[in-house]
Amino acid sequence: MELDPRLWGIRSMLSRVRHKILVLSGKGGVGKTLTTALLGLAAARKGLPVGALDLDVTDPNLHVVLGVDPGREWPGERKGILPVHVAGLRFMSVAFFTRGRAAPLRGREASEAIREILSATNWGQLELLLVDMPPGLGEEMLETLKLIPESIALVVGTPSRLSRDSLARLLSLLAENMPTRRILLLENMARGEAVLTSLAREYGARYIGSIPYDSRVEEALGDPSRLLDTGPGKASECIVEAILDYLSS
Amino acid sequence: MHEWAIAEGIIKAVEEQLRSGVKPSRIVVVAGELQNLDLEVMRGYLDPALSELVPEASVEYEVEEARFECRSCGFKWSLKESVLTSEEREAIHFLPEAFHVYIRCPRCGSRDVEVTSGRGVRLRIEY
Ligand SMILES: Nc1ncnc2c1ncn2[C@@H]1O[C@H](COP(=O)(O)OP(=O)(O)OP(=O)(O)O)[C@@H](O)[C@H]1O
Ligand SMILES: [Mg+2]
Ligand SMILES: [Zn+2]
Repeated sequence: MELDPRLWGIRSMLSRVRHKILVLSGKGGVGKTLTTALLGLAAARKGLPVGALDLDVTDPNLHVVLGVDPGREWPGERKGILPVHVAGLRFMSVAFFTRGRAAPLRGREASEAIREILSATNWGQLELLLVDMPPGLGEEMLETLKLIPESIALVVGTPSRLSRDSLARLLSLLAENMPTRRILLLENMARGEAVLTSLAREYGARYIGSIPYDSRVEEALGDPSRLLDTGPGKASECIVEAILDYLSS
Repeated sequence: MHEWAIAEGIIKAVEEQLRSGVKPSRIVVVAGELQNLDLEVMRGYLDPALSELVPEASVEYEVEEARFECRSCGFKWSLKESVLTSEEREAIHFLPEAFHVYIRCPRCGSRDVEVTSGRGVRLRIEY
């Protein structure tokens, strides 16, 4: 019989991480990476031990939002690979090893990379680990949901009708196939009234709040303290509170 | 050390075998050449732990040659024929899939390359 020892490694490495949150969406470009960064930075500012992991293995860009240059930083080693510290946040990404260059991966290879990173990263003790996922209902999402069965799905959607349609598909997939999984819905690029609350109710997800659209985000990218000063940054502080409330109830 | 994390996974896997009531008689740690693990370091962690957990089992270490195949032109070659800097080796050591950035097909230059053997660590257990 042949076993993949990483499956045990993953459990062991994540055993000291209290809550794992996978940031998901069906369609791309809805703001998973930005919200992963903002929620992580806001939680770190509150003094929580928090980690952020970029699992968008073929096209990682969380380092850009956080202002980390993968060509210059190199994770240390101690009982595994150590995340890099940015503004109080512990950060890990495949970009450190690909030096920010393109790594064309087929489905199975993306899963291999995900297993490797999850089993090798030594986060230490964390209250919260936020995982930025690639868009889509494919290999990466299915593999990560399986590897971390206790994780919470934080689904990001925008008010656009196109986004809602795709959101409904993802929510129904999660609700049908993984009935015990805890699901949160976050509305991003909100303009005024929240429009996704009824969708959340329909699929048994918890609506966790909304983040407004703010054109100042673009120039603040790469600068954690400026990002936290934007509308989305401030909203993220409330959303972190809401998530912590939800997790403790 | 990163080797520690891999060894830890192996020990946990063997422990679970024992808990489920099966007794391994032979354990083979198959290490892919691509990941370039330090086997001496691995043995330093594993030998004492395994000889305590499964004293009757034989424990062996095997290095599997890393081989590639180009998906564009079908060319096959081995890691030994690829030239890598020590930094590139280090990146691949942490994340074998990083080879896609540093290794191209020597015949046609394509980056759509598959590693057909010798990627990472597998644990072979016989009873
Ligand atoms: N609330 C917001 N206000 C202003 N700009 C935003 C907001 N949310 C996201 N953006 C911008 O929209 C773009 C897409 O966001 P982001 O990269 O976070 O999406 P994503 O879901 O991670 O995309 P992908 O699916 O490609 O990974 C980025 O330029 C980001 O800065
Ligand atoms: Mg993204
Ligand atoms: Zn070729």
